[in-house]
Amino acid sequence: MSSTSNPTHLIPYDSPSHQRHAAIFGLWVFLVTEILFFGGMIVGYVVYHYEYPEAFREGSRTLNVWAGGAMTAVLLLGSLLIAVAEHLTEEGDRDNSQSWRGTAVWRLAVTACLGVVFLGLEFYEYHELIGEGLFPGSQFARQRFTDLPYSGRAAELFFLMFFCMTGLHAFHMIVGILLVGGIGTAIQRARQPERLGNTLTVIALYWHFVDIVWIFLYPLFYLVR
Amino acid sequence: MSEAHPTTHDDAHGHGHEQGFVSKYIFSTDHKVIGIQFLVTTLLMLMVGGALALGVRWQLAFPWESMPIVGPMLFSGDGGQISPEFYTMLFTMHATVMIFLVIIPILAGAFGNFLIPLMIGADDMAFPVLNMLSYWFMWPAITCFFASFFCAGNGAAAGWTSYPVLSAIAESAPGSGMAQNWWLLGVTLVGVSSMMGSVNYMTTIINMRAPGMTLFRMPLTIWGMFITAILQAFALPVLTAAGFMLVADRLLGTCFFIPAGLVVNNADPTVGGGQSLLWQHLFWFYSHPAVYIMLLPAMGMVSDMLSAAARKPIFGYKPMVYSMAAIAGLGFIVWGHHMFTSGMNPALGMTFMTSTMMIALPSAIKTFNWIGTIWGGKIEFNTFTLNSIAFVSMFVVGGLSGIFMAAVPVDIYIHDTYFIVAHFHYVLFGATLFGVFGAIYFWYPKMFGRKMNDTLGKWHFFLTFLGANGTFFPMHLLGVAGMPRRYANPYLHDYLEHLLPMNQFMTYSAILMGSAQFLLLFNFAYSLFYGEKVGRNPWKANGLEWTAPSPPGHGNFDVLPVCYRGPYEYSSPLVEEDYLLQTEYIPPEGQKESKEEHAEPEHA
Repeated sequence: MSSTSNPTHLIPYDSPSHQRHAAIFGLWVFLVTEILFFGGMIVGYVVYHYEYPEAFREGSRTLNVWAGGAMTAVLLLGSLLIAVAEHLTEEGDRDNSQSWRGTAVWRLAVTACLGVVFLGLEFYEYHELIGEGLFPGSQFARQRFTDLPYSGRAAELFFLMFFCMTGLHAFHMIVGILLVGGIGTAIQRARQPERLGNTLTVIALYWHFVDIVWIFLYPLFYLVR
Repeated sequence: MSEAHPTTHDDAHGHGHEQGFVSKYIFSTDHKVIGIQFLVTTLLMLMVGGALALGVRWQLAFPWESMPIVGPMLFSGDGGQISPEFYTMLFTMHATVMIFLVIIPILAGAFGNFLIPLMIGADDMAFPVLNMLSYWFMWPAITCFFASFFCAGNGAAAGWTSYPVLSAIAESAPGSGMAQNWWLLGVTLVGVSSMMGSVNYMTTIINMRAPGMTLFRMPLTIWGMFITAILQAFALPVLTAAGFMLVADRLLGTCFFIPAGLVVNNADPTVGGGQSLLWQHLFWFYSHPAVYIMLLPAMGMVSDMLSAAARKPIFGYKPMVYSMAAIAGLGFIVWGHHMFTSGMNPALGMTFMTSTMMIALPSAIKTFNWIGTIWGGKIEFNTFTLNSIAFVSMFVVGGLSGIFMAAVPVDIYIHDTYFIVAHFHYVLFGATLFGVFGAIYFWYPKMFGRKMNDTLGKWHFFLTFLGANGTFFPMHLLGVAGMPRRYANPYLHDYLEHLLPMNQFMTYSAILMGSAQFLLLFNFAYSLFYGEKVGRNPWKANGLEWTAPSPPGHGNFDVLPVCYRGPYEYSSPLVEEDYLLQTEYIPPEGQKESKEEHAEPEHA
């Protein structure tokens, strides 16, 4: 806190590395709250899966496992690319060259596009299910599950969980795509892009987290059948 | 990022950096301003919640008689007689306002924000903008709760616990249709606000401490805030998730919490296959830790105040820290004790009973340590001392009745009677609010550079203390006599008729207690302009916050504080005064003469 100030950091911090440390720590705390948020919903899933195992098995069989698999692959590829972009920024910060900028921006753009592809596949899946009358509510095709408990209401619970949890995940994806797109644009335009390293790290952590949530949702809905 | 925020370290100390009125007092990122914003807001909400409570008390003392103001205004057609749904709304909203808009934000929001950076020697919170947002997310939440008042003539009326199916089916409580939706949205927004706050507190306490401020040199206030932040961050999201599911049940026609074949208020039978009990589990998984969120920071602040009041080091610093951690840890595994009568496997009940009773252990350690702290001390009975001592004594009453409730066989008899109402009012009002009152008097000089009036403060204390005990102690007796909570008119039952006079006495006490709070508000406002001006360290206390100017400028400290010891070195043999600041350097034996150089400039 001497008077020789370093203009790259903000009020409460002593140094840029101090700020980076705090930002990453804060994001981790946020991610733990997110884990508990999805954890609450997963508890709901587990309770009803335990209660109505056949209905959940039947529900899972109606989902398109290949679409789900493709979505998983798309997300994992995006995660790899954003990790590479972040690594490039760190290296660029070290040797002060600008050459990394283009490659990093290019990788971030592809990551955001892969996110859009994921949402497209999810939309396709939703479209198919709604077409088959599997969206919960009064229009629900209960006659498909007549031999199940409560004449298909239990199967409807499966689709409730499916639409709620994947929907909330999709909301997180939309936020993530906006963030990745935004940071890509910012790096492209900034005069000193290496200063955006902290922000990129934090966004990359968030993106990885949203991927990991899907890694749990995919087996819960598509593979447990 | 630095392009967006050109404020650098040079002008961080408030010299030569002009801020507009809006960015300085309204959308401020300064933790002290945000803390004071929280304090003023929550004190106003305290009055709102108190008014609702007086409505409840009026109905219990004078059932169906015209309620002053409310009766003629809203129920003029019925001769001022309120409806039972209105009574249900009164206690629902009383609890909601007091829990979500008063106790939680006044502890974490007001005192957490104001004290954490000052006490650990940081310039500000780790994420100042996030901090500002956490305050401004309170207002949409307040708006939602108040919107729920004005919905179809009645507010949310499912109790603050919002158990389904009462809360999940719109027909179940007349007039509560949209109100319950607004209520759930409000709870979600409060959750967002405190989540942002707790991320900030944890990051700040871990990353921003001054040199020499090791974890075990932190004041117990900071430990309380830290443990609370952990509880809040890791319990609240579960409630948010459950809240979303309940909103879906109400608005999208899902049936997460609605069982099949239920007929409510002559509507069609429900078709769901869900489980109402799942809500209770998810709700209490958050809300039991939440009761410690509402207590631990006050425990920490009272420890600091008692030590300063008795001019003695805190008795057993580390056991105090460990017992707070133990209370918090155990707090995560005891939620089932709220559900003993909801239908539960007896083996599970036994487990929850044992783990709940174990909480008595760390609580007793803390109580005895507080007593040990003031034992033989040179106590000065000013306002904050009296309030802190009230905290300890009321906490003992509330804690002991908690052990009654924890025992399954006893709980089955007194569950949902006035006994539980007595228990949590002794803890939340008796303990937490007295701790908060004490803290307001104690840190007010640091916030505004002036002391609050001590005479008014003592009047406020004595009247509140009398009123609180007069209101809450008889509730134990009502509970044992079998008076259930949440009944608009318990005297319909013959066996409760004779309790009316006692209820009237309680209502008079509650009116006394409510009016006493105007003394606090008056004192708070009056002292802003006419209070005695004070220097940096009016209480001669040790913490880092007392080395900063009163009130501290933007950036808090004039020099980087360096911490040499814990905050409880009162009556130390090393110095002549009876206090020893955390920042004061004492050279090793033989070089004592040089001490003068490090003396506070303040003492002149």
